[in-house]
Amino acid sequence: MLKDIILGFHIFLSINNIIAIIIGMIIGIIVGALPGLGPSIALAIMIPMTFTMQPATAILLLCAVYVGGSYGGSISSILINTPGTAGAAATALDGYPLAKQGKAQKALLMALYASTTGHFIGTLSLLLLFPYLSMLALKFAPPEITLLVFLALTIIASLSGKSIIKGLIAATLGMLFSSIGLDPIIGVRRFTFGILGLDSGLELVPSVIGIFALSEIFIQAENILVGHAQPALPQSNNLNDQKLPIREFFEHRINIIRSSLVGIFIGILPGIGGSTAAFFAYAQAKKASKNPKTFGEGNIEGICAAEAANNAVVSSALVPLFSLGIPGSLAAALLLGALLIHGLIPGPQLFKEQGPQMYAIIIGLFACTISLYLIGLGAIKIGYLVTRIKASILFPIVLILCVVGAFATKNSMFDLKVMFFFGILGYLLRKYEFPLSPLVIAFILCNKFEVALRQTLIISEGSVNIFFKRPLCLTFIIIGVFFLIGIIMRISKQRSGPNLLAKIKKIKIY
Amino acid sequence: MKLKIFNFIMFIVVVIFVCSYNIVFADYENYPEKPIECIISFSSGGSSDLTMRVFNSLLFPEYLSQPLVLINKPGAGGSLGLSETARAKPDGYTIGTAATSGLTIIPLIREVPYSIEDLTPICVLMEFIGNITVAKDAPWNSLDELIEYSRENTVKYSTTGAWTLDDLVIKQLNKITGTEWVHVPFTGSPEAVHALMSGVVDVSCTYGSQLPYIKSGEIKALAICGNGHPLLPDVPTFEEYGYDIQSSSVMGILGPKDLPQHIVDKLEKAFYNVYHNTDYQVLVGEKLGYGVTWMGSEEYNRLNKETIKKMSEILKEYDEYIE
Repeated sequence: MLKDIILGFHIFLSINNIIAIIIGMIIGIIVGALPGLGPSIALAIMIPMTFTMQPATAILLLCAVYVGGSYGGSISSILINTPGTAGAAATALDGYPLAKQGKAQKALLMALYASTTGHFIGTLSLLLLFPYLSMLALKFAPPEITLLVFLALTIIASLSGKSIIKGLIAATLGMLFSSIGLDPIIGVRRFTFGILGLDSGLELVPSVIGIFALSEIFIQAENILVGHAQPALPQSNNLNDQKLPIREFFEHRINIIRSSLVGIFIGILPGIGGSTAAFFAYAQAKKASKNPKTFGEGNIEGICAAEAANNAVVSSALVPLFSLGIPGSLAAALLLGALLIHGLIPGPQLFKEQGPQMYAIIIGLFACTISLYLIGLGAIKIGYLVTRIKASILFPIVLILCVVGAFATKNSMFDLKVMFFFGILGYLLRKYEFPLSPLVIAFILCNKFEVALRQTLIISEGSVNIFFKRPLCLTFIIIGVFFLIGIIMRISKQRSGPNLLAKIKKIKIY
Repeated sequence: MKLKIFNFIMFIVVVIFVCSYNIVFADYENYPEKPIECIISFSSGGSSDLTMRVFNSLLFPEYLSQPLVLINKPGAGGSLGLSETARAKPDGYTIGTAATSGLTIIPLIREVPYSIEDLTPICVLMEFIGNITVAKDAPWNSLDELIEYSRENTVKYSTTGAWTLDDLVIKQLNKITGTEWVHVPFTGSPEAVHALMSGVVDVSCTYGSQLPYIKSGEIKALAICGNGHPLLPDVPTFEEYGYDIQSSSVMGILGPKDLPQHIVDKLEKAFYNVYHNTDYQVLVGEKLGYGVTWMGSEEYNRLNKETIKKMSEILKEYDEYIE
């Protein structure tokens, strides 16, 4: 192995590879930051261009695009409330409120630091834990995925803001929207009203853009019309809000490590992806936080968790790809094609037969960490200029970007209509003070939950005992019960009411 | 007066332009005059998309004077892109790709704004390699052993979704052998194979990239769909097992209805030349490991009609079937 690593270094140390990483990173961050254009689209366009390159160079170029794209989504999430990728939707929850408080720079820096660290930890686990993670990936079947997604869904309760009823209504709406399309198990149409475009369900990115970004544009337009125009993002005079000292960053180390681990575990599962990882880590961060109430209103821990998890997914999604040929995310699925073209056939033999090439790629992924940090700093400087633009100029530009982004995902006019529908819905919900995040979380997760639950029940022939028979499932259930007990105990300590009934009532409100 | 003459000259100029445009249009020797839009009915990076991107890089300018502009219109199992192709003007500037299931199965079970009659087949470029696979330590070494086992025990199989060709291949097999297997649909081929490897299902039938896992010995292939594949010479086809199962899934190129014959001929000829280019064979066939296959317009049409007939027979027994 050591010999392979040294040979890998030898392959990696060529000017071509370093240029590939830098160019890939720049492209990745740009496509990630533009709403709607995710790393997947960029990868698909670039794969044919890499046919003539050296294997390591080609894969590193694509990996750099993937890494940059996963990070880039956070920039537009924080500055204009438009998640560039689905994975960055969780970042917008706290990122944009922070930017509105004048702490955009701080939020951006935290996103970059957390992404960089998350990516580093993810890559480290790829190097050191490769055989164990690939074994673990095979332990995750539909029953485990059901419980995992279910745990992530519990976050809705804590993100509902002031009124749990309104939070649940929003979540139910999200669940309803996620059920549109072909039934995943028996293939009949649900709520499609004869519209062919709805057969594959509502597309995630246009919906999320509509609900977050478009509704924000409508609110801003209304403010300008009624004369309450403010600068798009206020500048804070407090210098502390503009920087993030390393010492302050280290206060979040536990959060970062925990979120990265969440990202690594979710990354190795096929078809789950960065958005689930980010929300899951967000939920965990909130549960562990000292100030859980400020989550969703601008708590920097939220960004930290979401970004660390989202970027840890990048490297860990490569584990099942390399070891089994099973991609852990859409972008990794595209990489599979590139690997095959260059004769790197995934499987247990990959590291034995192509050791030097593979270690060159892993070393390159570490180099991506450095390049992500440096180029990310530059991107923040450029992105931050957005805050100087007047709202009346900025938001029309954002609107154009949203329209282009929603169209570009699938080249579909229908997706534009979806985006505007969700924009209007988001605007109305905001006006009546419904929280938006439960809707988005339910929309993203309920579909996965439904598919996994129904698959589980087919596999177990209708019995729920399967959840108690599998060791990993049982672990998840125990974790869930501990969470529940923890919450109940904390509440009953905080609010000692006159009788039990009132206590129970308060638990529900919480 | 001067103005009038000027107007008249402008009028003549415009008329000449308009006429010459029409003349060019009618002049099929010069077809194509502008890039041809090709609607890929699957998302970017999938096997259809990668094949077409390799194909397009070889096509222009060597074999066709204009390139294809590839547009991904994924969704609804490929039927979204196909309805777009069916709706296009038959001037030869819009064509599209299709996979067998979107073309032949979906119109039988769902109302979609197209049928096989609304499209003109041009050619087939690629065959999706489908396999019936089991875990590497499974006790069965042939399809017959598995079928015998399933007469006494429950067998669960994973596919890429309900009413896909993968699902119908198993349903055909069950019908012939009088067995009944439990279907566990997944949303994509990686998930379906993952389920097989993690042991929650016994069998997996998917089209797509199972090849690497079979080659690396992670899973065992008991049967191969269609006419077999040179990279898996030892895996028997259904025909070799003695079952009459319609199982070949191809990626073809089609145009809208009433596409003029000379355009079909011209495209077919150009695509045929690309197909026989060594680079295409090496890149798609060996490196990507997809099944390169050629069928001309007529043969493709015949295959589609046969598949529809076969699928109707199977689907008639289910409520989903529509006339």
